Amino acid sequence: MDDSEIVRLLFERDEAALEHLRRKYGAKCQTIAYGILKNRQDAEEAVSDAYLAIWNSIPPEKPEILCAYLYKLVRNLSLHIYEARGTEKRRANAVASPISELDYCVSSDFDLHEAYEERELSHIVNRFLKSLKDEDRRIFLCRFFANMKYKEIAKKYGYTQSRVKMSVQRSKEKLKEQLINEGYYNEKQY
Amino acid sequence: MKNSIELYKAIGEADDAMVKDALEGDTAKEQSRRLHGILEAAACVAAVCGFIAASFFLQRISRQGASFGDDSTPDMTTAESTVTDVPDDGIDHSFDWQYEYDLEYENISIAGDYLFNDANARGRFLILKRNVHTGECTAVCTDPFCEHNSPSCPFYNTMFVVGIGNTMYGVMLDENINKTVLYSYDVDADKKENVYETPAIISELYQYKYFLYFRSSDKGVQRLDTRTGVIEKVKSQPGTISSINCGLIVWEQHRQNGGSASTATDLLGNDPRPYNIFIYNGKLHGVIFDENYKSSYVQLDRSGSVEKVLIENSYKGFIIGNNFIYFGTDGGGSLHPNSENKANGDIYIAPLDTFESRLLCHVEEVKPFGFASSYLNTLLSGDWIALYYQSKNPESENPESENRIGVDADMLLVNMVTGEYHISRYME
Repeated sequence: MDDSEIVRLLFERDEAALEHLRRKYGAKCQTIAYGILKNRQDAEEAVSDAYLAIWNSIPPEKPEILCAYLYKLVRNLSLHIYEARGTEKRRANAVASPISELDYCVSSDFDLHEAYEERELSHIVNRFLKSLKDEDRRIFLCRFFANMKYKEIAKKYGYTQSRVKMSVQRSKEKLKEQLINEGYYNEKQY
Repeated sequence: MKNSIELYKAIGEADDAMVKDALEGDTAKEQSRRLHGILEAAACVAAVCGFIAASFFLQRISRQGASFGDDSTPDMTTAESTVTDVPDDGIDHSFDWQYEYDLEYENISIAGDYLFNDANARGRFLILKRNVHTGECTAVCTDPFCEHNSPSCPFYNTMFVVGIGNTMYGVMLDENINKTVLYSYDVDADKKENVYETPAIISELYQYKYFLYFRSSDKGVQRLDTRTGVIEKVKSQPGTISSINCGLIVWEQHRQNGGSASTATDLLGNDPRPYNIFIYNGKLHGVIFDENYKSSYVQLDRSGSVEKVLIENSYKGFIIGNNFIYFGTDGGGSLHPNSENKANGDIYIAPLDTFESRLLCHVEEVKPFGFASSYLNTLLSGDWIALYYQSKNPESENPESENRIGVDADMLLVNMVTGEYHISRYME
């Protein structure tokens, strides 16, 4: 079913819209949530919360790109659950391969929280993404937005896993360089 | 870890269209190759990275007193007397005439019998070679029983390749020794050997005549002279390599304001200077698009306004060796990736000094629409160039739709002097 049709059903308060969302995007939502929470039950809870959030926000919201709206909801809710966990539980679940991979790009000398709150970090990331070649950008977002495994990304695009890993590494280096240029990384460490 | 989470959150706020493109693009491979061809053509004309739906600016070159085929560092004396540093005053100096260069655009390929590229070929990732004289396209691996999908294949895990004559150079991850390897493969001798190994990652590979430039995460940019085997360090500038041509390396760095800054150096990374608009015969040239994305090659005045249309309705276009090559269209064309390709199979060539276009060839069987590349290198071998094309796909549900068959396993090879062409398809 076309996304515009699903939005129309939501506007008509027809619960069939949620079933269509589950069928069309459920698997990817699970992947995104599980990639953060590493716990199936928590991931299902996050995805369910996302469907509820969509039901409550549309209308009046009318997202232009429904799938992106949904994926971001899932992602944010999953992160909220992750951050709400106690430190011990976070350690015990040892996330987060995609998140920990980003350690390469950040410096401990700067606190990026304020940059994120002021949306500066998002602007930097979007500029970085726009600077990438199309295939590198797609691979990067599959890995760090959708938490897909390298094997899944390779299969999706018909590449070898090493090519996917190389693409990710290249992109991380460019992102690091961008953060240096923007003043959010200690150059001496570079 | 805390900062990683903040960065991870910021990635979650990526532009919706980019998210949809990455996660929902069912024909992501085809879209990628099609857009890559489109962007590559536009970028080559403009010689800058990125696509802006308003105007492109083209770098033009006429080197004075230099000879083709000379690999040495060019004489920069003429440029030195006219170039000054870009003042850091927040003002756009793109059109300042003090930044003009006089250079020539060269064909930096070394002629051979083959073109090489990595491709998604019928669902498999393969390293391919194409005979430019016949169009025959085969896997580089000569073992007829090899499936090319395991470490037993000598070209398995190859990331990207370039060709210098009949020798292919590739970057691969050799899992046996846990190193990244730059190797050479002599097609005529069927001989493969490692020329450089590193435990680090090689992320860029460029060919410039007989030289290979590559960047590793431990030693930065180096260059290999494939004739002697000598490896030299190249002084890195901020940013990544955008292009190597006319004896210059152009480095591009993205700025805080969203723009980018380019720096040009000599072939060893020395003598950095700003790299802005380039002039051809004292005039500023560019490619512009109207509201329907119809493109024309024009002469501009200092404010960027069109002074004169040089080649009207030049659908895309690419400069190689002082010629402008472009496609003919029926009723205009468009660079928008979702719009219909109106290329009509005509390929034109126009010398940059006269702009007198002539029809190079008409391709009846398919519609060429973009300039092929292997990773960051345009696919060229002497006078032969590779193009992406569209043709009717008999397997499509709608037989009238024009879908590309295969991805970059299929190319059109054209001779820029004679107009001879071959449709080169990988056939298992």
